[in-house]
Amino acid sequence: MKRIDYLGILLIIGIGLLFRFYIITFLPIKNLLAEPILLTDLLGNGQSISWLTITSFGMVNILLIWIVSLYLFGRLNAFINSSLYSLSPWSAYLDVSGSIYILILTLLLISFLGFQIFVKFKYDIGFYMILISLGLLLYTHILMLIVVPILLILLIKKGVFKQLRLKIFYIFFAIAFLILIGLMIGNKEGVTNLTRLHFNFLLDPRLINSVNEYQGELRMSPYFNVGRFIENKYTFVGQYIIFNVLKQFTPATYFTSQQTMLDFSFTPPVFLGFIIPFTLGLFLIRIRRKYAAVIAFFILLLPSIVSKASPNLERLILIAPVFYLIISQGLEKLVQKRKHNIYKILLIVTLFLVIFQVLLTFIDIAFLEEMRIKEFHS
Amino acid sequence: MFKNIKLILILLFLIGGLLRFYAITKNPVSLNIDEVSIGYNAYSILKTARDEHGEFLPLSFKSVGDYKPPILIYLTVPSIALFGLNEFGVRFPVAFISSFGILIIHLFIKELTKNVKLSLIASALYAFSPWSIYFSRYSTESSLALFFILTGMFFLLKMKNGRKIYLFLSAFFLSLSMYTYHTERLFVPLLILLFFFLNRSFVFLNKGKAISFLAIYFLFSFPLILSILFGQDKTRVQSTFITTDINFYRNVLVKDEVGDLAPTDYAWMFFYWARKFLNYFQPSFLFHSGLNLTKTGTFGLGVLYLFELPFLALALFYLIKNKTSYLLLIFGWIVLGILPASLTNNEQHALRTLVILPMLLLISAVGIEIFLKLINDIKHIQIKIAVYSISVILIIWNLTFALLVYSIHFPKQQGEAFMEGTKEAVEYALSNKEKYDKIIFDPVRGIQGPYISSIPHEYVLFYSKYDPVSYQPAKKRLMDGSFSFDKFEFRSIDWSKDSEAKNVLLIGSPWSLPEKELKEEEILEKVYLSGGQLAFLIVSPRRSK
Repeated sequence: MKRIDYLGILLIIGIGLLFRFYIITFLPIKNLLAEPILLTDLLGNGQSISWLTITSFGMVNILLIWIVSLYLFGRLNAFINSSLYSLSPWSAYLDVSGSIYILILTLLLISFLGFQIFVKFKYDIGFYMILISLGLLLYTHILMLIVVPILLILLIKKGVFKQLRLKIFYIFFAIAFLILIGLMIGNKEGVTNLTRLHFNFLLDPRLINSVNEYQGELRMSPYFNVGRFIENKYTFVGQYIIFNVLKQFTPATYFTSQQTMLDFSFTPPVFLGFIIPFTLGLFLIRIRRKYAAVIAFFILLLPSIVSKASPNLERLILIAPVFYLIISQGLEKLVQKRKHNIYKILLIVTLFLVIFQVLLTFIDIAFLEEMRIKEFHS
Repeated sequence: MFKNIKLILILLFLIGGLLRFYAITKNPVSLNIDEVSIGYNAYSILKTARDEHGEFLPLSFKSVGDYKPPILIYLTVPSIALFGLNEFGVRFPVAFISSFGILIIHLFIKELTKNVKLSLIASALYAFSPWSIYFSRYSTESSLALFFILTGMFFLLKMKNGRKIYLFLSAFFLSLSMYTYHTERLFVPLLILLFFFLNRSFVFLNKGKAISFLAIYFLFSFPLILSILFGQDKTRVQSTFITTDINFYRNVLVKDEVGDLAPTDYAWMFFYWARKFLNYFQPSFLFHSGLNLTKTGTFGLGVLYLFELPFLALALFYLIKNKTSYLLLIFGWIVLGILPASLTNNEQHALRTLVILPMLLLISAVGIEIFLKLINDIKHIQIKIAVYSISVILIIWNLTFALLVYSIHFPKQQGEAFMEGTKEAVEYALSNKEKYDKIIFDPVRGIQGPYISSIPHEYVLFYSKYDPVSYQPAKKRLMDGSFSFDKFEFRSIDWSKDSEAKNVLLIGSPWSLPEKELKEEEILEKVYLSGGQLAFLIVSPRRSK
């Protein structure tokens, strides 16, 4: 690691910070998404985490992404990945609006880094990073009650921890779960409210109305008997879940303003130009026999899938590093093969579109986004 | 299994024809504005060789100000002559020709891929395609244009190895498709360019054929090009272009109305267009509710069946991995097919993107072929049976769901989109016409609000079989701006004033004729939609000063 690498990452973090301060200069979105962590809610002190704290964690995320990418994919990839996160409107908007998912992402990245340190270098610090980060994650958000246990099971199945460490692992999480369950029993009403608020995808009125209305219409038709097997709440819920899952994989969600970040923004989560390296990166990613990684990826999609407003860009930030990884793989390929005509053209188009949209985004934030907040944000 | 190809094709043709013709006059529940206009203009051409506005054999039909392409109307003329000016006469041409689409898609894909199995699977998918069936069951230019494109492309492929007549036929059908629907006017020239680019070595070696083709194509298309650049079709382009999209002004520029764009606004327009373009790949459009057969956000039918999703994924992986020869044509066709629709001022529009259906079906067919091979390679018989059974059950479930959506929920939920109720109101007015001095019809309607302008005068012309000879020259626009002919007046009803009128029949929605303000003896008839909502009140005032 050279000094220039450290300077490089500091520069990227600095640019990221400047971008976030630019956003809050023009847009009144500080703490727009702020919410308390689960532990404080259960203890009856629902103090939201301030946007400044969340933004700090956002900066930590840039550093963590850089370190992880450096270990796994090399220098170029590390700088591309961290730059993407730093300058991405997706993470920037969520940082300054105080989204708790930024903090959740930080803990996930720490656990992942810990995993790499432990597996590759056999350092104990890696093991303790996993324990502490996943333990804290349990107390951060109610949705982590479905994410963390599955991640723990994956770790156990992978057989990474042996003997003493495995015992420490079991004891630590047993205690963590017991304390959490105790707190939840002591605050049942709070837990019920939180569950309704965050696991609300089946409360979508369109789903409920569909079931009722369709059955009403079917009852008056000659197809009623057949229709009962084809159209009932189980088949509708099944379809609803399938479509909720499919929505997470739609290009328009990430590269256009289809989902309107924070309910008002025309800025896309990821700049449109990156769709080219993203598409290329999809073919370069090797997922054969990496079942644990694939399962972990799908687990991280769950918070968005169970959201009523799915795809939920706030919750999807948890998979943003994977997204940026795919883009960086594609970009790296484009750069490596830039001497071939087709790759050269694709690289030029990518850079042109990205730079064009970055400039447009800066102008848009300064002149139009605030008007959109007043017009559209409830 | 594929020995008796002709038998299979005949069977598919009959089944596909049945799905397109069965109860065609009852579902969709009513003729919509376009169908009524197409029907009456065809009737007018039949009687007078002029359209409803008196123009002699036009290349572009002014109709209700939307400048309809000519081919469907001219093809409806013999249908009206044979079956009369009614629902069947109007809907017959598209259903009939679209049924032959099952055969032409087989020919086209067989010529493209040299794979008979694949082409038969694609034909089967087309026969049952919700996208094709829906737009074949009512009078739409898009289905017809698609048939002409497939025919034209079939002959274009044949031209590579065949006789010069194919050259002529290809150019003819491709340019004919441009006279049939607006999307094709941008799509077809680009498709030809794409085809020539992908087959550039052939073009280079057969310059004579290529030039002859282009010359014939240009010759056929020339009148249309003039109309688009300088004539009435220019109006159509201007009124539907993306620069008139109100949502762009409201949501992006945060302005209340459509206006002139500053040069810098085009930068935002580009990314707004990119959003519209990519929206066509949304699962909701493809598999959930793209056909708009049910209320927004509820379960409906996408342009493809849900069971096709895994086959599409499988096929894409296979096609890209094996760098299949026609892969670029598939992707290019899809991208170019979505382009015209993405440049208009609507969100996802299934009618305008129907051109991409053949390629999507081809991809699905490839996926199904691979899937069948994979199942056949399974050694354990029980697993093989289980996989087959589950697949068949899912397909049957999906097809049955589609049937229920189309036959039960669609008429009840989207009757208003097809102007349901207007026919009944008009027929009442026509049968009681002699009793009144004036019949006033308020065009505005809507269950959710007074948002729909129903253009009822076209329905009056259609269902009364109004003599075009007397309609064409009649002065129809009154001094106060309202539209009128014969005893009929089409304007807003103001009940506070119109309630004083004598010997007048008023037809309007509850927005213009609030039930609470009407006396019971004044309400002569109520017209309801299939979903039970009140569409129109037919009223004759019984108040004296």
